[in-house]
Amino acid sequence: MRAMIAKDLKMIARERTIISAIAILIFIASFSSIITFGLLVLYKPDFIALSGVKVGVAGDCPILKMSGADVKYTILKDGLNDFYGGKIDALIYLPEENASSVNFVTVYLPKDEISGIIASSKVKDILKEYQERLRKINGIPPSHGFRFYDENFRRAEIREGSSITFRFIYAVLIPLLLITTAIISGGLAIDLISEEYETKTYEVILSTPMSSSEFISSKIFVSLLISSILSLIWIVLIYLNVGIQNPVFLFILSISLSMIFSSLGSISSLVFKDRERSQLVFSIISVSAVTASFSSSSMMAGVAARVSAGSYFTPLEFLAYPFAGAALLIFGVFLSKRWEILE
Amino acid sequence: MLPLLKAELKKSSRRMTGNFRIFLLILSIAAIAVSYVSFSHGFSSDSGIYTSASDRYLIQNRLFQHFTVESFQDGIELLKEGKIDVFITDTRVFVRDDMKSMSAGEEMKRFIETEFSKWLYNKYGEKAFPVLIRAEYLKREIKPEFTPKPISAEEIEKIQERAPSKEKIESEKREEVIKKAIEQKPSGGEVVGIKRKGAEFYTPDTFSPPSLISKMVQAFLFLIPSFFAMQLFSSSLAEDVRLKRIEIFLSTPLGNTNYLFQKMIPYFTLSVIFALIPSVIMASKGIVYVLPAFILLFSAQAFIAVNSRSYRELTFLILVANLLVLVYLVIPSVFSGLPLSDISPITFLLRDLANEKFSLADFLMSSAPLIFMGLTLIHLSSESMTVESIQSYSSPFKKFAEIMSSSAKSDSISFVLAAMTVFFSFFFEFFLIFFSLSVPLLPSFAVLMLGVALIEEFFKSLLIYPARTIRRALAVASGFFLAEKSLLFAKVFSDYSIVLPGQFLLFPFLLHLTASSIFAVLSRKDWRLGYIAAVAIHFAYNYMAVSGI
Repeated sequence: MRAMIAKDLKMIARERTIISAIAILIFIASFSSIITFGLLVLYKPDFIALSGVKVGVAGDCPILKMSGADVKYTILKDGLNDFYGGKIDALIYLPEENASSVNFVTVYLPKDEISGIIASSKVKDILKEYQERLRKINGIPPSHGFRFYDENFRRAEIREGSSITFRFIYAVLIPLLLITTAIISGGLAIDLISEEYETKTYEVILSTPMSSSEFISSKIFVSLLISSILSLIWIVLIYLNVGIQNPVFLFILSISLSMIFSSLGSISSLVFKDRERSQLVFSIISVSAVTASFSSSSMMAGVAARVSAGSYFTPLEFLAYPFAGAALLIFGVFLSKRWEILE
Repeated sequence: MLPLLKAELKKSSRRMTGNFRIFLLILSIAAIAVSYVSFSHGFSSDSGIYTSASDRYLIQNRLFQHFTVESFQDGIELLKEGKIDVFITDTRVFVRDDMKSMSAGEEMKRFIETEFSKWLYNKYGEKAFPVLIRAEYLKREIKPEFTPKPISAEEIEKIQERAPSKEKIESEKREEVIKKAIEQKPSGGEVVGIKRKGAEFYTPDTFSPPSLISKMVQAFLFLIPSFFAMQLFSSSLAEDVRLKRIEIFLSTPLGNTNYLFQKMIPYFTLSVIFALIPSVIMASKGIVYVLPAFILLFSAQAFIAVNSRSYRELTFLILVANLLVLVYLVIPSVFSGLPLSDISPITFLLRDLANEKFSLADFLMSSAPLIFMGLTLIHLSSESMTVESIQSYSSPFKKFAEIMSSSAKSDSISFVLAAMTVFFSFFFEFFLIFFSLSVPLLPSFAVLMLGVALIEEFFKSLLIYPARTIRRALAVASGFFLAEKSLLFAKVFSDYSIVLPGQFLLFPFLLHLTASSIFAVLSRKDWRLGYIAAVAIHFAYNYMAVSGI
């Protein structure tokens, strides 16, 4: 068994296959930060820290014009001419203001321009101020009145956009890395087993003192070893970059999930004996498992999010995965024994 | 007429036995059901990620696990110990100065605002929401060198006509608009508007730029099922390679390209059928937008399947290739509203699904790089199907370089291949732009410029190296330059020509010619020396052009 493990590891090292696996994980981590950037731009456009956009207000709306507009117009035509001429980046239009009722405001923004996204942030601030002014005029409380403080009772400023980044890193990126590692592990188990089947070397192996359960165990062991190395790499990277609260628990969770997927891969290979069908079945199972894992806080992605963020989780939620992994692993090895008898 | 196609179908039906087909059907139905239930349940992996406590309030928000504490002092202690992320009492909210607590504070602020809006509505009705916003995005062409043309009176009239006034919206409708806008106030980050008569209304709190992110899931419906067909294709092709069947095919008059196409047709057709299903269900032209992506993905899988040394390598490389292409296709739509988003045909699919208008020329320009890269990869796969190449233990990356070089048989072929490599260069440079967004501006700029030089000189040097003559350098530089310039017809590329310098004509040509010639001369001694020199010249030019020196 040891020789079989050494052989597979040697082959993987020779092909430098693990480098592409590491590349996948680094890549996922990188493009996730891009999505985070995109989301931040979307929800808090002034995050990109570009200034100099100008917003105009047009129409018969004296209170709106007091709320921070750069340029004021009496008629829409003048405002639109400046907008199309590039003198302003956004135009707020309110034909006729009514302080005691609802005002339907039209905002004109440039299409396909970064200035449009930045200007929308300024437009939002102007209209929020306008809303507060109108509420005051009508005797309505303009804001909720809650104030934020730090633990030393000093006023704290809440930065917008931090939650979306935090949730993205812990509830999307880390679970995605966990799942990708597990899928790599499962795919590797299939390849290691089906290659032996398809090249008929499996029959040669069985003619030696090695049993089929030892054969399957060694293949699963190799795939788990590779997934352990991968998990260690990305956990250390994220720990150094943003911080993980329970790195050891997260590592156990990652290995448990890899155990589930590599056992599933092995079972699939044992049953179908060719790569084509084994990978197809494994892929269908993986896709549905990935979608399901994000659908509830007790599913894998939710547990991984809370473990890595240092939030509360129950022992049952956590232990379910190592137990499921171990059960599937035992089942896979048992199945290989049964198969040997049947054959 | 297509003997291999017949054989492929026969092989598939032999392997996919009746029992396996039933199993596959049941598994697929179960997978669809699980995915459907998951999607309808929504994204919940962030539920309970924050912890809150209060001595007065009960917080009911899916992002928070809430605890009640006895006293103010208990709450502050728990916050200091890091056991809770946010503590709320009377009109004060306490947070720590760390990322998690600040994030929890932001969500708590949003939750309070939502609750406040509901309270306002219940107490004051529509009077509490005196501002409702409708956004209109107008295309404008600003060219600083010319005096901007004033907008026509008819156009202004049309725009004015679209602006809703109070009179146009009856009072009961107004109430409905406000109620819906309040109900859909963001809670947990999601910002949505309400659609009515083709316009979306927002309160100032919910107003944000337009986004195609919510439609991104739909793009996956068109793409993901096809990956199963691609997987079958690459498995079948790899099996031919592993079991040496391909060597028998190569000894027949079938021809390499013909073999590849016949092998690909059934699986490609299956992918098209998979993409047609959501197209029909959503009554969209979705299939048109994903076809260029299919061409690229199938050809990439063909190249990897033919050149991988083992199944392990095949799986890993296909994962990498699929991820790269998927990111190139889907991620630009995150930046909807910016020209960069038009780089992918999938953005146009999402725009189509959102009933947005766009130009056909822009869509074609976004598809062209994918199609050209696909055709080049088919050519390279076909060229790599020789007994020597299949039996060699070189890595697929080395084989790519070798085949590219060996394909450059003459200067004219090198000219065409150089033009084709521009699309590969832009593909990788796209990722460079994204990577540079993750690091500080100044180093990112230098890395970007260096990356561009490394990528472009790599492709050019592959084609120059076999001949190492000035004539070849001229052919390659001209082919590369012409294709690069033709890309600038596409708005998306011309807008980013500042980042990837190419807005001038003479200087870039001289740059390519100089760098290529230097490589041709120096590589006669050592290719590394030639490559380093070419990259240095290219980098220096890029850096100076961008810095405005």
